[in-house]
Amino acid sequence: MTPDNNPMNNQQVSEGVRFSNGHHLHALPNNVSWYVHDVVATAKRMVLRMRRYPSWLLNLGLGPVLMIFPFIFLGDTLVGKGRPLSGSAFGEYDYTGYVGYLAVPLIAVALSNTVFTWLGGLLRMERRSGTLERVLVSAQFPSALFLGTAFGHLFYMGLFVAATVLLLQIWIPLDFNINYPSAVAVLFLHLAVTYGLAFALSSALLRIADSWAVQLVISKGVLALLSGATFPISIYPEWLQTIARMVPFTWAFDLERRSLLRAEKFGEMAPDLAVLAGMTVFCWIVGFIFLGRELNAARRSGVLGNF
Amino acid sequence: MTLWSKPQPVLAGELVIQIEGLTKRFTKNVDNPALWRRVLGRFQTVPIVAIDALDLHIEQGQFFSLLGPNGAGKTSTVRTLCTLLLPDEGSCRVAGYDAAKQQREVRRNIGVSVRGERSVYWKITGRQNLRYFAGLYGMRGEEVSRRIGEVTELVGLTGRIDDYVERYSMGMKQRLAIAVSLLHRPPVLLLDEPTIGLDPNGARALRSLLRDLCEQEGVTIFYTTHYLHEAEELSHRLAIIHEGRKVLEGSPDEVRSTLGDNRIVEVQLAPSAKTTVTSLRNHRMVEKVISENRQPTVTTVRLEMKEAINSVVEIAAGDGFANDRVLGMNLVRPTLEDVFASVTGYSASEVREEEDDT
Repeated sequence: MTPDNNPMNNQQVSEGVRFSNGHHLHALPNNVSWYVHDVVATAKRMVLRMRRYPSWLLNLGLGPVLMIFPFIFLGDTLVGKGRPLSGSAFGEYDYTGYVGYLAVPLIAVALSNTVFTWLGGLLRMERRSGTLERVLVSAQFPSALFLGTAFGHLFYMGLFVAATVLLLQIWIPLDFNINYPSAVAVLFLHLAVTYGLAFALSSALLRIADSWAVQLVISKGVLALLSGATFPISIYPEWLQTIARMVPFTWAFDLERRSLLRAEKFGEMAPDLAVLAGMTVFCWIVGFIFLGRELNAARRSGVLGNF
Repeated sequence: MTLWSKPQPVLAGELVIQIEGLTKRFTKNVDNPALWRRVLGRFQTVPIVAIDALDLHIEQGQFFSLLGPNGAGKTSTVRTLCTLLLPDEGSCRVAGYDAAKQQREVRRNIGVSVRGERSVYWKITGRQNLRYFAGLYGMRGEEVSRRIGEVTELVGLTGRIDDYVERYSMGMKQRLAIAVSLLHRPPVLLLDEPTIGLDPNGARALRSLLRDLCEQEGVTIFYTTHYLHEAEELSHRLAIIHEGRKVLEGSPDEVRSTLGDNRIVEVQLAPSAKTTVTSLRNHRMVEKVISENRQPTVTTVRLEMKEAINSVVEIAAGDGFANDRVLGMNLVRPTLEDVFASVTGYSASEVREEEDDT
């Protein structure tokens, strides 16, 4: 058959060749179940792979503690309860001491950092090793690969949090005063917005080979500085405070302090939770759009398989 | 053993792969720009044409080989067919679906081996790799275990499938990559140099497997390779591309016949006859030296003559050929390698050496 008399030529979107040997796989299964299946398969593979790196897991688990202990010690020494500077800056926020003010967001920052590292690092590694291309010609939904990776990470996240809080409690006991419904809601949203941001930033790796470092600078530096993790954003000039309020972590840290240290009720926090939820949805939408755009750009420029 | 679930006779004729005017250009940075320049896209680039208005039409059940020197555009063509690259111009249809617009449908109907042993996860076992990819292909439950058993046996990894892939030899990783591509019984296989790294026995076994898949099960196979004997042995049709352009296409016999009979002369020279080779290369009747094979006792040179000759006697008395270092001369039938060297300017051995260097 010549190209000219092949009926497929006149079709913009074809229904496929009818294979005479019965191999045709035309019918696509239900999209949602396929998507979920891709996510679960990738998450399982992530968990299996990570089991091969127990020392790395230990490092990731202990990392946050090692990172935040010096900050907390220093903070407690200077402005902790009963210290000379206590109350000077934090009294107005109605927290009993700087340790609590500092500890909660620092744990979150440290853990967020592992999310950014994980998603960005793995994408970079898969691209360099050659498996990214192989997976992308198998999977029906590329974004499901990111989600699967994120959920695989989430499996270990509980371990990291438990290790961090346990070690912190042994050394510097925190005076938690928790409202559980509020805390569950805000922790869920915090995690979701972190993954959404990491998702969006990871896509940039397809455009810039060493953007992993840029991503870490953004997550460790810019976001931590602007979000009031270590000091109240009220010390900033008004214009910078406005920018800081656009960072989802600013809302997340504030809500975490209120729910974990002051047992604020869900109803009282609801308006701010709604803002954080909106930012979470926004980050995920941006993440999906970025990923789609960057994948297409990478397909055009041929950099998907650079290694 | 049944390779595929429903072996049925193949009715050839329908085009399964259609490439029309495919053009793909890449850009290369002129210098090494700073990060901020790259972020803002402010750096100079030069265009490189990887594929230039390529047309290929492959029928159902055909074994089609794409040959060409390094950088000719073979891998770019495979990557475009399997949705990893978007064409700049032209179109690609695989199994009737547009590779640029219907990516999911294309992916579902193809088995791909690109990057060979680097396309599988080394930190998990072979079986875990197969389970993962089976999941991505939408396979469920009992079917997964059964199919993993089948493809593992097909590629000869049964005894090692529960080992971590990092402990496999390169050839075993390559075979695992092939097993992954066969998992979902795709009607179209796109294989980019799948025998690189395999030992001769492994390569022979893989060729035998591919031949069976094509001939018994009607699987359409698009194959790129540097090993011309593989293309000659397996292909119903083949094409040679050079600098992104198709220079020849046809069955192996048709391609071989393009050089015409009586144009290839094989000359045996005494060792270290460098000056003689040079004089042959510059001889008025010689178009080009196709290959030069130096052995301790004899150097064999294959020459493409400018015109057909009836007998080596015609040239034996000519300048350059009448040399006491010339041990013998034969008029031989052109091989695929001769044609390849003639149209690309590269001998197959040069291509393989370049590949080894990279």
